[in-house]
Amino acid sequence: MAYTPGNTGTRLDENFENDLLAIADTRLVLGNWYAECVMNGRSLPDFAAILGMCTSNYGHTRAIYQLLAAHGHDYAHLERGRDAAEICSMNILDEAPTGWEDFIVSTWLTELATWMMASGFLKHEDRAIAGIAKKIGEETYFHLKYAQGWFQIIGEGKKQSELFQKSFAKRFPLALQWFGPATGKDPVHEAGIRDVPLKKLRDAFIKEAGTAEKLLGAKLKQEKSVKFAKDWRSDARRFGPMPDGLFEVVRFKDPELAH
Amino acid sequence: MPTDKPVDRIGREAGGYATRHRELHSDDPDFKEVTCPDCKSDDLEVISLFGGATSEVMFRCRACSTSFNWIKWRGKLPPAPSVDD
Repeated sequence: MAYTPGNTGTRLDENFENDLLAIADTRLVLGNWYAECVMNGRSLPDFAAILGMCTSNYGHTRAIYQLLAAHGHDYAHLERGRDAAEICSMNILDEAPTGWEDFIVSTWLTELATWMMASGFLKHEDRAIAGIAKKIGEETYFHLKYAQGWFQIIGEGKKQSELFQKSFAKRFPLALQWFGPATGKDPVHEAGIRDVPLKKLRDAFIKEAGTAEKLLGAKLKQEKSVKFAKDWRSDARRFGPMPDGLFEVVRFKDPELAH
Repeated sequence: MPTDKPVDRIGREAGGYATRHRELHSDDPDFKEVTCPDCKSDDLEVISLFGGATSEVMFRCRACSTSFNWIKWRGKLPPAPSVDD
């Protein structure tokens, strides 16, 4: 049945679904990053913050999966039935963090990029969709604040700053790539579903990522163009499948536990 | 998955990173309107941006030493472009 806003049971636009799934899957993997890294926190407040951000991200994923389930998808399949090639998480999370600075850079860029994408649906005519976007924003606001606190602390150490700069130079292009080619089409905007065009969201992401320089007190190298090889999967917003090692971490183990 | 190799620690006063975070976040303008539920003082410090629940910020009142949680979500969103920009 053709999609009508607020009418569960009708199918969503396919490209719109892909974008929602890219946000949901990226936040699923991000939640798992937090869960895996919590003991690397530098203090008990870090533990509380990382676990809090972990549960928030899982909540965002669950909310989007439920929305998709209300529009014809199988929730169980979305949550636990897909293989590595079907999970559409951002390439930035494929490689585990190499240290604390890399962890802060990677999680912050992922939070920021996925928020930008979600913000394009803030004025969606379906209140359920607009509500999910708003909730993601309200929670991400404090996730970003936490990261910004760390920018200042990292900026107080020369070696730590250099590690941050190095990590940013490596991870930023992977987050930028998630938005697709700068000159690419935006069928979701063209269909009137996303009110802000993707290019504008991409530019805003670049601008906002640049504000870290002031808090860090050091320059950050921002690649503003990213090369897209033939194996770019525009529907999944990523290159290739999720690496096996990461899939082993994020996959659901319930069938094994049941035996 | 990720483990961290030993790194040179940044020199810190007693309390370490937690103390520095407390200093940084206690002057945050987002918390300007928060007051102590016991003595109504606004002389507060942020103990942790994430309290006992994700939705809470944990504060301590410098005037009466009361610790309390404050619900953080007030509709504020991170920067994002709008159609009108």
